[in-house]
Amino acid sequence: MIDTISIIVVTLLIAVTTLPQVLKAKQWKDLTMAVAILLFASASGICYINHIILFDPVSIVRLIFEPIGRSITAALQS
Amino acid sequence: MKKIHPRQFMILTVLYTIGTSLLIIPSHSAAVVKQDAWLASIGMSFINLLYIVIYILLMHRFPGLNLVQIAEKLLGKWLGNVLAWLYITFFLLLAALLLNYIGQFIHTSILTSTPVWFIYATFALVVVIGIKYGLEAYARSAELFFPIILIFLSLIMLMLVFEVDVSKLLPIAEHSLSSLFLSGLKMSAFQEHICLLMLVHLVDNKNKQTAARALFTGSALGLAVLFAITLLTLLILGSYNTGHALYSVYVLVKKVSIGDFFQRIEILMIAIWFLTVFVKICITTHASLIGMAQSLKMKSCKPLVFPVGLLIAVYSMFVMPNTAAFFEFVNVGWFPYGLLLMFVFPLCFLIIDFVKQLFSSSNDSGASEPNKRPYS
Repeated sequence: MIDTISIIVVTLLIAVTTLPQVLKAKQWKDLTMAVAILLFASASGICYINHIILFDPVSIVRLIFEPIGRSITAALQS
Repeated sequence: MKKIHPRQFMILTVLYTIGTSLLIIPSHSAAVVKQDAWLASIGMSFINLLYIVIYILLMHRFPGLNLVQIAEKLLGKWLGNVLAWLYITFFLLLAALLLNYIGQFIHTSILTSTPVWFIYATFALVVVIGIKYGLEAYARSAELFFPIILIFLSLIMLMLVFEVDVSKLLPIAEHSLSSLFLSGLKMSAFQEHICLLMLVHLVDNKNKQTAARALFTGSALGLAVLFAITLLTLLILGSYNTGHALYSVYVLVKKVSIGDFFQRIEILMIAIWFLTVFVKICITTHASLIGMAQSLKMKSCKPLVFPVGLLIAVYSMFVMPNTAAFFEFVNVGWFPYGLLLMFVFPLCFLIIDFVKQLFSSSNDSGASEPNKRPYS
């Protein structure tokens, strides 16, 4: 529980320090992107703490590139 | 926009090249090609320099543009953006992997009782602060660290020379040329110089001192250091110990002992490693931020710095469970991924540009206007 609260606190801290300036400058695209990344990072962190992997980029890279890597290795080692 | 001097860019390139490779390269190559790892390291240097030549050609063809801008200019808005996001995700994943690797190293070798998440968070915070202050600030800090790193490295190498045993390199060239080439190819994916192509528009070219020259010199210097360290590790630890130790260079430096009073200087190596990895993660994260800001047509990447920092810190926690899994992943999965983004795509950019130029020159044959962007 304490881990989840710490991630929420860090997220709020980042939001408080970063977003007001963007809001004041009325940079809507920048604001949307910053909020989206912040929420995604925060959600990923909370999910990880609760043993749920929201999105694992390494497994995607593995799925696509490991067969290619194996075939290159086999071709050069034979 | 404040720009950096080509000399600073060269220093960044040297530190970027040394980065994590300092710990990875000797063990990784010795595990496969054993005592011939130094030959594979030479192969790696040539392959990396070939990548650099491609990047330099791109820089000559598109002066003042970075990788995302080049992709957009060559392939149009849609396809250019797709490629830009492929690079951005590559940079983000790389930053998370680097943070994970240094976190695992600190956790297993130095601060064994400290929770690993705390190490990730602290390092990510330092990186984020560095980027928040801008390229100029961390380039200057790199410039300050550079002589210290050089002194420490020279000192370590000098003291290790007394432990050298040349017989540990025998038999030379026992492995086939294709095995050495494969090992060199795999190791070349650890020097992701493509990230530096995202910063070239921030380098102030001065007459002969250009970003291209700085990139080449910096890479060559960094690769020379990696070769020297690989050779020393093999000459002192031997291929078996080098290949089986997770952090062979760390083990190597622990062996320094002069007169039973000058010993335990591994902290110098750790200092070098911290500084170089700090620069590497800063550049990689900054490259992803610049890419995001440019592909989304944002005014500045500054609002994204802390959110992306949090994203990288979170992902570094679960991107790799341990160093053994990291090695297994980089051995088979990472190198074709890196090869595609670091070699195949840039080469395709060059070919597309060449074909485009060929078509445009054949269409304009007889036109009086000379070619504004000669290929040479």
